Amino acid sequence: MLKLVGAMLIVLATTLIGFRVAGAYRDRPRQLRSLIRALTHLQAEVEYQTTPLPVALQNVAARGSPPCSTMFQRVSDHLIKDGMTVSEAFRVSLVRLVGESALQSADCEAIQSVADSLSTMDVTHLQTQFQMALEALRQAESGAREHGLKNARLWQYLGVLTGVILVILLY
Amino acid sequence: MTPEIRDVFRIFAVGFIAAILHTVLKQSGKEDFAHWATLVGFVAVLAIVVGYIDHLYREITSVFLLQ
Repeated sequence: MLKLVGAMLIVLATTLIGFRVAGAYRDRPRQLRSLIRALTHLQAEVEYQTTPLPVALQNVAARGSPPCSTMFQRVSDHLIKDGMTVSEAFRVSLVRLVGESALQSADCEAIQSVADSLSTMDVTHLQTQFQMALEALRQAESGAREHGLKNARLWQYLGVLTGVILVILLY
Repeated sequence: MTPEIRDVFRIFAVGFIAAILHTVLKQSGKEDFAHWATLVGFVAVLAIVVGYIDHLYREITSVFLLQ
């Protein structure tokens, strides 16, 4: 009886691990899309409305969905309360974003390059920076969507089967 | 169920799951991992079987009085 409960717990644990990893693969394209939307919005705020950056970031955060919206909110908070430079604020927040979401640090480098140029370049140069970042993110998104579904299913199978094989060998 | 029969079923199950793992990994383009999975399955079965092979050799040596 106890053995059976243990076996079920092992299978349950590995299945959950498998689904968790699969979930990260599923979430990544969605989070990349929301990041693209947020960046487009930020571009509009900066280029056409010339909103002050902390306010623009707050607007972006209010319209977006987590975890990207919390990232922009944090950048805004860092700018207002902690007095960081734009580049620093983005760097700190992006590191936290990578830790919390399914995004990879390569995805965030595009945002970082925009952030580095936000305070130093004029509108025309900013436009090319935004375009480059958006292009990189779009490419990452289509790649993530292609690999994501395949890998998600693979990890689900892998989780369940690893649990079953462990139980068989230990039982 | 005798321990021998149980081991037979265990070997069957390990082989079955190793086969499924191999196909799943191969279909998602990770062929190297697929081969590793098969190898791990083979080693697992070998670990179950090694006791019986040992037993068999002892039996043979005692039957033919080779010692």
